[in-house]
Amino acid sequence: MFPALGLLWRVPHTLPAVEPLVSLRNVAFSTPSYSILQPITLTIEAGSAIAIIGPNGAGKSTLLRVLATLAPPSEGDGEVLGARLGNREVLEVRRRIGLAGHLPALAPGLTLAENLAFYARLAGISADRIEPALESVGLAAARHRRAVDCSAGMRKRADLARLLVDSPELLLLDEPTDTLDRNARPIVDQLVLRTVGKGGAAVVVSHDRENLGQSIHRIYALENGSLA
Amino acid sequence: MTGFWLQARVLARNELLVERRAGETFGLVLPFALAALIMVPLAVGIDQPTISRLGLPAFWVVTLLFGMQIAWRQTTATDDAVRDQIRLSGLDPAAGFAGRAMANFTLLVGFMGVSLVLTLLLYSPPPIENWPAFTAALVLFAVGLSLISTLIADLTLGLSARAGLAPLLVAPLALPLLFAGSRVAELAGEAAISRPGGILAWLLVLVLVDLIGVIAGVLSARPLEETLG
Repeated sequence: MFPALGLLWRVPHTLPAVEPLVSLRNVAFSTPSYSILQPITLTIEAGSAIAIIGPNGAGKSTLLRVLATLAPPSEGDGEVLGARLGNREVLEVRRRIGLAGHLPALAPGLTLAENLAFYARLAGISADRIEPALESVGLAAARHRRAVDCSAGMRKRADLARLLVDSPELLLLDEPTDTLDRNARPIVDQLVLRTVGKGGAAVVVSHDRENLGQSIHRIYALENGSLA
Repeated sequence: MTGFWLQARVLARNELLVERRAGETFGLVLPFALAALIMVPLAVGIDQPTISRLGLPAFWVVTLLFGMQIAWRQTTATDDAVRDQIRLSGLDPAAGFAGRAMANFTLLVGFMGVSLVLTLLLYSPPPIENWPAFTAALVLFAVGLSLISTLIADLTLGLSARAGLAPLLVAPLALPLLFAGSRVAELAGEAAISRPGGILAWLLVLVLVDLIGVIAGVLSARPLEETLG
């Protein structure tokens, strides 16, 4: 259905000699007024794809931000791609983490191609990868359309195309199929398979088990900030 | 990983592209600034010498008060998801600050150019004899205001009271720029052309403020980014 995905089957970064890729030990996260994540211990091995399911407000997106090194834990410690969480060294590994958040990271006034080109230029990635990436998610014809003029599903596809351009080692997907139609759902599976196939790891978060594809190895449940 | 200046340039270019589409600076801020410049002579009346004398001071004040607004227009940094991706792209926070300041500087120079032309046409201020010094003051003023307003825009990002708070923070910090810029403009005029030392001293004040802005912006970029998360 998306044959151009094969063109992107290249990972530009060298994988580190780090195993497991993620290791959390009693990591908790709270705001000054609210405890979002209870102490969580989690290990994610290279080459594995895990899913975290839970109801709205369970803390799934927060856990993903902790894994992305964007939210330093309030308690506990851990490493992501060898970098200690909450430490300055996370800045060195962020480049190897790919996050597709609940909301697509697209500037509304820019076209889909311009959005992807911006991230590619920042990361020093060749712009040649943008066209095949957009094509592979079925957005070749819409590449010059501004993000604000696209449907939610198209924006989500474009956000996934950004990850195809980037080829991260740790793939973090927050409700990736939320606004996608059935035809587009294989894109998520392809992304996950591609990442784990190259020795990386993927974490997919969803509120519904049925939204998970066939590429997941293990499923965790997150409820009221506790992982089971 | 790309180099510092390359990252800054990529970010600045993107900010300018976003601005070109949104048109906030030249479609919203500039018309209000020009309206303010037009209103001053209307309020003063037909006393031409007074209007002429008020011209350049009005230009500096309008540039300061309206120019700072450029920094808190809609940017890529105001969207949480985009900001997260920029952080994950490996962008050096200091390069991010530099890029945003470069974009703000570019927009401010255009803004000041249009405002200055209108000032010269409307007010007929005393002729400027020392154009190199005056031009240097304009550029250094634009650099300083860009740095300060970018820093405050970053500092107040996400605050609900940002629109009201940011100008209150920028205005006092930018006062040295206003003093020095207007003094250079005055000394660059016909009456004071024999005092080049005075001009140099005020230009150095502008340079000093710019340097402080650079140092403060670069040193605070990383802690600010991690704090604002």
